[in-house]
Amino acid sequence: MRTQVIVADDEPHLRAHLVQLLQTLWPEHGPGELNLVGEPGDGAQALRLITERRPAIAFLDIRMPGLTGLEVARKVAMQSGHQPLLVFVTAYDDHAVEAFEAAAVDYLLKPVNQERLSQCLRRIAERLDTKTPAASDADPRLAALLDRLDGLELTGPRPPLRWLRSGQGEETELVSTDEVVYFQAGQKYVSAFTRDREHVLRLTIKELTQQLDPEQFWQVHRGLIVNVSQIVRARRDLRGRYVLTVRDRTETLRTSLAYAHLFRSM
Amino acid sequence: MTGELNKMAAETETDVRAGAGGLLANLLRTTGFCLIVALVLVAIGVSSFVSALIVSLCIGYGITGVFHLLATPLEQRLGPLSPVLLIPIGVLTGLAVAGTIRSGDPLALIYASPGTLIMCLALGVIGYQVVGNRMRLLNSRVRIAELERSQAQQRQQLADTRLKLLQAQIEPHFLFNTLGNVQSLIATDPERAARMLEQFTALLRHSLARTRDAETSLAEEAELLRAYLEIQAERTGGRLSYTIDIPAELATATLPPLLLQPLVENAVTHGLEPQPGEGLIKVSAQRAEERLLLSVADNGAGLDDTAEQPRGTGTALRNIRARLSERYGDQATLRLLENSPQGLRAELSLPLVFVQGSS
Repeated sequence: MRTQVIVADDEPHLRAHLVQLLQTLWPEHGPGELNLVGEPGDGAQALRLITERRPAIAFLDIRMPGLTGLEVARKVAMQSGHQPLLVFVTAYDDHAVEAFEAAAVDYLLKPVNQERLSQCLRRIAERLDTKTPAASDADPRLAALLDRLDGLELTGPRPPLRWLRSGQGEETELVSTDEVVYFQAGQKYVSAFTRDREHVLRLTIKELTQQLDPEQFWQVHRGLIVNVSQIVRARRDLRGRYVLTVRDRTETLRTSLAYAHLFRSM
Repeated sequence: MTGELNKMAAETETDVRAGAGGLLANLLRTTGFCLIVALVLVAIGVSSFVSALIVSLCIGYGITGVFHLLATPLEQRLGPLSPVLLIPIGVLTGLAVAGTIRSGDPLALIYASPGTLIMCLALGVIGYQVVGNRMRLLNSRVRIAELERSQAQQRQQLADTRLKLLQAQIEPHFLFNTLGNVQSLIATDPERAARMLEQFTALLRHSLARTRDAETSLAEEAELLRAYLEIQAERTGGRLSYTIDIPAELATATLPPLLLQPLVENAVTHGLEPQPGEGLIKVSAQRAEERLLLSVADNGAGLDDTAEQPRGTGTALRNIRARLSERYGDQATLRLLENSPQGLRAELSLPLVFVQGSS
């Protein structure tokens, strides 16, 4: 019996090393005869090879360009058809590594050592013994698990805006929203004021309110959005509006009556 | 950081004093309000001016005083229900005082006119509107001050953690991948393995020897970057290439250590590693009069708001900015720009200072 295997890693030396170790250890510990059908260098290639060549076993590096090893595994699990046994390979004991174990036959830490790889091959042989390769169809549980692990950002709500593009002449500067003390709408543009500068943005105030993190940024006036963590003091004036003092800026900001309730409940 | 905390504590104190000033303003406002009440009572013929004024002033001050003394402890226990208790206590106190002044009997007024009592309660509710708002404002200010303090503590902790991270410096993925590469190369290409190990040793030595306060020269920093980028180029099998362009006259320019390396590391791990295909990193230095301009550019993935990568970039930038402002005040800047046609470019501008003993 020939066992089809792919080894995916973007670092050629590491990939070659794993392949070489597999060739050495397979005859003694692995199931059947090793038949290496692909050595992809990125996630997209790995996915294509798994779909086309239908290997029994895939060794997947986790950090790969294009698609990560986890993304490849998730896509494979979601596509009906062929489900190879997965072995994740990673350089560092990531926080999620124990969870990978549930979704994969095994995971290996780089640099891979012989003893550990032998153990991994014996485990694979056992699994192939109890389960014929043909029966190993896409496993919905695996898909769900990988989804939980990795797909949170992809399937969840859109993450709030974290970088702003500010145009000055030909250059586009990137400004982190964390740095912004407040946004103010002018005649034509919206300005973001940081500790020491004003950045002119190519966004409307409405677009901003839709995209910013509502926990961190409060609209306090039709044309004014303030970073809550930068408010030093809120003082109510006689007409019931609030006057805000903000960190690192000398000017004060005035809320309008319509938004005063934000501060009354503080 | 301690200075900031002190400043904040001072601000909180000012707020408490503003609270005392608030009481005075409240008393003045109450006096005016009571004067009007007394005049109204006289106008509708209920009572003489003096006795009306005494009663209304006593009640007004009673409510103000009770609120000032009891609002905070009661609010903690009863929450929004506290005014229901505070207003009658204020009114009764005021009536008792007024009774004592007029006839020597604190209970005289309370027994005499249940109608007055009801009216006073109604007035109390109106008065509460004024006083209550004041109180809430005071509370919100104290809460902001508290929030500030806890934020400052968090920032301090964050700074400590970052310092430790900086000292450790070598990112675990990088460390183990590099060791893995060396191990792989030993059998197939021992010479390459040896070179990689050499570079890695140089990098480790530099990184570990550095403290926050030490200065480094641009030439030294370039050596470090070269070692790092050489390892990365080898690891990726030539997928990543780089140039370091530092004019000879700037070799002895000084800069804080570990300023460029995190930018280069960001460019590699967030810009080039996630992207298939070849990538280029350009590090360059330039002189502009009395300023040193440094640039780290890549042609990688750039910033994508939906991707995970900006997180790391943001932390590194904040970190560098914090260190720049600590050392140079307003005299140094770090800007992140979009590189054309793709990728990012980080630009640092520092005052130009040369290592002592050279020009």
